[in-house]
Amino acid sequence: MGHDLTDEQYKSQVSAVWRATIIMAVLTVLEVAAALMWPEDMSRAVLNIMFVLMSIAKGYFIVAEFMHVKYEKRALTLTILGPLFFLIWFIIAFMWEGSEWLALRELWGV
Amino acid sequence: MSHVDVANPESAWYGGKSPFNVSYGKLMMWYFLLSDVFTFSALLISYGAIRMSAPEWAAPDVVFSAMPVLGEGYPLIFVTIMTFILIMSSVFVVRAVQEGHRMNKKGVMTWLAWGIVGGVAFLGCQAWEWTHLIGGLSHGHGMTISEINFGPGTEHYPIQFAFLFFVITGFHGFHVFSGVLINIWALIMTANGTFERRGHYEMIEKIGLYWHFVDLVWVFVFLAFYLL
Amino acid sequence: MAHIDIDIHEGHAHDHDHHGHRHDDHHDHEHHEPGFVMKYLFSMDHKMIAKQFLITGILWAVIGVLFSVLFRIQLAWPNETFPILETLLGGWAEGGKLDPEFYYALVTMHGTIMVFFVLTAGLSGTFSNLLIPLQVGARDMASPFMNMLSYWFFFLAGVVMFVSLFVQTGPASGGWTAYPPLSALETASSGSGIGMTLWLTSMALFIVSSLLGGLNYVATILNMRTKGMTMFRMPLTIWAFFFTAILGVLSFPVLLSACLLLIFDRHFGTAFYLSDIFINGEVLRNSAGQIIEGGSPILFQHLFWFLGHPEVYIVILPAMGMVSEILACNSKKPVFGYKAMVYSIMAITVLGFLVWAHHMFMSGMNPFVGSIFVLFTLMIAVPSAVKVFNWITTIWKGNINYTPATLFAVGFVSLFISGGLTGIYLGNSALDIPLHDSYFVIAHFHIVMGLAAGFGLFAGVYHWFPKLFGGRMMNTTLGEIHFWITFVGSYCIFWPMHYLGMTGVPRRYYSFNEFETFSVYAELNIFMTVAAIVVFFAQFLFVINFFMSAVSTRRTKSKNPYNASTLEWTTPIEAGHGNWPGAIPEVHRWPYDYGKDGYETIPQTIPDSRLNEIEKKGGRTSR
Repeated sequence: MGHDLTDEQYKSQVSAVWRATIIMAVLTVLEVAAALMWPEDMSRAVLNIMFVLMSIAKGYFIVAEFMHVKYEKRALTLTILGPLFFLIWFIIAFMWEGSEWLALRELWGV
Repeated sequence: MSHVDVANPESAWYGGKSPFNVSYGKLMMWYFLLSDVFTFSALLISYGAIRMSAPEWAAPDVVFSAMPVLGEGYPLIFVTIMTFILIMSSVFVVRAVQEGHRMNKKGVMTWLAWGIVGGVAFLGCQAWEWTHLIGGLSHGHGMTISEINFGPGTEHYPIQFAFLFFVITGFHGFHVFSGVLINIWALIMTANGTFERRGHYEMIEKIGLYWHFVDLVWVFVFLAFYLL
Repeated sequence: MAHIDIDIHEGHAHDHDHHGHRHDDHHDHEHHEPGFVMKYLFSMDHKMIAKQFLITGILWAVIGVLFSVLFRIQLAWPNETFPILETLLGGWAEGGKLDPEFYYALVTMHGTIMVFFVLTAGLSGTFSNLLIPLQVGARDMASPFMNMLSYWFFFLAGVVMFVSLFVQTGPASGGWTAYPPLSALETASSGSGIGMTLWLTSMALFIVSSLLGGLNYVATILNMRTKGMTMFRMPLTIWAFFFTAILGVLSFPVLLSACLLLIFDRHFGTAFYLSDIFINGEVLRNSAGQIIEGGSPILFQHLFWFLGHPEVYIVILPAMGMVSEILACNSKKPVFGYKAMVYSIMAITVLGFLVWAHHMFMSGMNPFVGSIFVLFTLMIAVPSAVKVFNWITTIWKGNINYTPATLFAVGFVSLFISGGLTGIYLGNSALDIPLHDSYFVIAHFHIVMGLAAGFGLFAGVYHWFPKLFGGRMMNTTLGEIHFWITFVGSYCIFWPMHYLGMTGVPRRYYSFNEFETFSVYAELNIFMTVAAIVVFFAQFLFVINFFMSAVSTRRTKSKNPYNASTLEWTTPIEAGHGNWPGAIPEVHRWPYDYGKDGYETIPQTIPDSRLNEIEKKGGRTSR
């Protein structure tokens, strides 16, 4: 990696990082604005999905640009991102169980 | 059925080199971060399970509405500022790594120093936030790990919100703190010319990965406690 | 992105990381001999660290199995007193009768010690350390320093656990599974006090050790294979250690979080796992007077088993890898279906992350969620079965060399089949209703973990003894006696437990004679306990054999006594620091060219152009 980086490559790398930063800042502002100004009568679930997607987008920029994963070999990227798929069932199962505990609480009047 | 044994010496996987073109140190840092992802995921997913099981939850814009000096009435603004601080701190460290690739010792030191400033600022903000919440309990607008009260209308705020908040942000803050210490160590090493002698600034890169991970976790802590 | 490609130059024996294009320079090797402390205590040589893990594991195994003998004595003769118990346990066995509270401490400690210290550290720690660098062709692990730390964190974890045995209120006694609320409330039982705190501390240290080791193993296998050693030319042992390490790196952190939250519940008044706790009719409150509520004990179970299930694969995969290797080598036949074996290990690893709640079918969880776990659990039987069929076909019509290692390897296959089949029963949530928490479960996991994995451990020690201790072999006769007594005896201990479980006998009960239904098993209990005592003492045949052979002056003349094909047999008999005195050999073939083209073995290092260097069938390589 780059002792022999040309000036152009260096400049483009630097601007790529600042670009990512601005996008992340904008996303954050949008998120907070949505959180504060979302109308009461609109579905909260839609808002939540928006939040999750925007956070994943921010995460993408951190991992791909800041942590340079976009520029690494694809095989390395796969070994890093692959295990994250286990989180899917982890999240689903735990959320489901959580709502089950709520149902049990309501059932038994606790 | 005989075994077909083909090995292409040009292949990245032939052996005698890293298939990813990455040093073992960097590989180990990546996989350590993966393990830390699972630590934080366990905590945040537990938050999710407990929140799903609670009939009611606290409203973040009520709980987190104060700012230093300016007082109450600024919902979510302070934590947004904290988010910016951490993002900027992360960017500064990326710049330090980029300067490291050009063997620019001064550049590395400057950007790393600013990264440390950002990290310390974040910790300061988090400390203010905690102090404000814990101290605020005495006049009915705060919470500790064992009590929560934000005034009239918030009687249903569950205690789970409080202890989940303090444990998870505390664990994250502990990571920020250790990251700051490591960054300071790296700054000293850079100043001493250690990496110049070594011929590469890969250590800064590895530490940078840890620092960006800390930022990444914050994105999801922010999502969990302040947005959802 | 500029790419710097550095080849291996094997100028001298101390270069570790010419792989990849960066190396940290902490490998400045002084060429003088290290002192005693650096050579033996804080060694950074993977072979020495392997021995440290092994010997520590053996010591803990003696303690762990001894505990099981002690509580089995209580089960077999509940009305008798045994002065030996009072000698060993003092106040915990006053008048020679085991204190009921301490019975729980014994089963808890037995489980904890055996699962973590013996079967994880002692099995995976030993053999990953010994074999990975030797079999992939590396001078040492990627980071010898972190490797050394990995052992010493394990040692520290052991010290803390050992101390917990002697505290006044006794060691942790809520089961190795440490479920809250019992483990979360310090006053709930004597074993929930300081003993539990020490248990949690020990676990945290152990997790650090495991993580340090796992990261090293993965980095070494990926980055430091020698030239020609592609992934699909690696022996199955390495594939097994690789996926074991991945399992550990991803699942131990979740246990860390579980323990962290438990510590908060215990000492900081939080309620992650607590809700509606009433003590003497009074609801439990925290220091601020708030009712402790909102959490769920089932959350702990989910978090614990998220590690707990991968943990059992962490225990069994290394044994599976070693058995494949030993069976192929000692029947001089290639492993049947090498790629299928690799993909099975992969499938077991992936599925292993999806099935955790099959340990929780009776926890009150949502039954539909449970059924999804049933589906994933039954799927895992498939790759496991593939492996079993492949072991059998590997040795079929082979020219079998019956070393003690072979015996234990074949014994492994037998035990894995027996124990594995009962897993299918338990994996069905409907069947689990009567079987959960019964002796049926105890039978199942002891046969697969205690026995099968344990046999893998024994097989590995017997087989790779010359690599552990410079060309020495363990005594074969003692080994055979050790095998037969252990094999027959262990089946005698655990087979009857299936019947106990099927008729509803619960586990973790202090005595059987309180209940009419269970008291009919009085004689069977005596039978199982006598078998346990015999098997316990038979292990000393192994321990004595191990230590006496380690210091014996008899050595093999050849550096490849089994005429095996893998790289570890190409090092000198006393392999020093850096493993190969000259250049690291290059690899030209997969590890299972046994019986090919009339050659008994074609080692991995021999290219087709140098086949004339090897003798044909029945001979040894003329190196």
